[in-house]
Amino acid sequence: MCSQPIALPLSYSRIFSFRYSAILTESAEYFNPQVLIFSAYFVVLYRQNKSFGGQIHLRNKIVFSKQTNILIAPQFAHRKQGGFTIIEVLVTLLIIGVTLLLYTVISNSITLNKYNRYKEVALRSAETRLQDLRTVSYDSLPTSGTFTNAQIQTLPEGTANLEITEISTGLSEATVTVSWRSPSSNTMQEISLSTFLSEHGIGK
Amino acid sequence: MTNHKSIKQNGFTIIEIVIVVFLFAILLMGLLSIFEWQQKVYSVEMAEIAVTNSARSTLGAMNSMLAQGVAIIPSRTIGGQLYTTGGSTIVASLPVITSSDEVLPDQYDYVVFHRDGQNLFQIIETHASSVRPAGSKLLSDNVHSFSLSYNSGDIASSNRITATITNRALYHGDKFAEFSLSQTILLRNY
Repeated sequence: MCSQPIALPLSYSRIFSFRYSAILTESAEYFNPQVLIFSAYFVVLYRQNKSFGGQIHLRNKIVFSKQTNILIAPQFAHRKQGGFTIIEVLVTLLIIGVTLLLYTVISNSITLNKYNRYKEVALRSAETRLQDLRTVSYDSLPTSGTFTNAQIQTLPEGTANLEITEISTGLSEATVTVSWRSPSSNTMQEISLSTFLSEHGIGK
Repeated sequence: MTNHKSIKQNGFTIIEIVIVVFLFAILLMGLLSIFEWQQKVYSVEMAEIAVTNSARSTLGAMNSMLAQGVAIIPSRTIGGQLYTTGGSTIVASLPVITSSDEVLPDQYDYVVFHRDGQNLFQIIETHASSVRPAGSKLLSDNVHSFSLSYNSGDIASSNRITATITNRALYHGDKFAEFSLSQTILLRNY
């Protein structure tokens, strides 16, 4: 009989509290459907047996005894339950989760910072190249091909490419593409800027 | 007199307490070192962000202003202070755009990019009928070096500027984050 008492829902416990001190246990057990069903069944038994004899049997097991005033769920009748409550597990998970999150957030911020910086360098380099194109006359525009400068060389594996396509006579489109290795993965990243160059608009 | 043998004791044993305290101490040390490391990373990253952002905002503003430029002005007095175009200051004239989207001929707004110690300012003087907002704006507060080079020896006849800015921000007292950015800007209305 040294078993764990079941939890009665509060309303039932009030019913019994006049004569039998029904015992409420950990709140977690309220959510056990077997316990709830058993509690309801117990109430029916109790009401049918007005002249309560001292013991209630369920499937040949004593589940209520007047001597001890302890109500025992059938599944608890022969063993003591160990283990953690849901609250304990949740708190543990929360602590582990927060720690891992902290690591992720920090390493992400480092990567994002680098990512921004590389992108800014690439943008300025591309802009500079496009501005340079405006200073030469239309006829002496360079041909397509790769180029580099000191700033592009600060990027990890930074390369740059200029592509000039003639759209019609006296009008070309220049596209500068700068690519570099991403700080977070092994993929390459690139930005691309385009401008139109016309025969009369450049060469200043 | 209470019979102690019949009472079930519910406390912890000393071994349990010792183990718990030991584990807790290890856990706490781990957490503290993470926290300390996080603080270091935080100050480094804040410095890195500060230098990147101010370099970006400086060159961004210079690009958007000077690309509209009509000419580079050797010197101009704005708000009682004389700004002389050179290696760390540039004065440029900009077209005046009115509220009816017209460009006033032969009238100019003026923009100055001026380094003063660690600070880099953008100062704008506007014509009475210009829609451009006038005033001074701090672009960067951690300038380590700022240089301007012109495509012509005669500043007034230059139309292309290469601006290079290097920003530094201190962290941990003696270390610093540094970021350099450079861009060539063409005065499109020259």
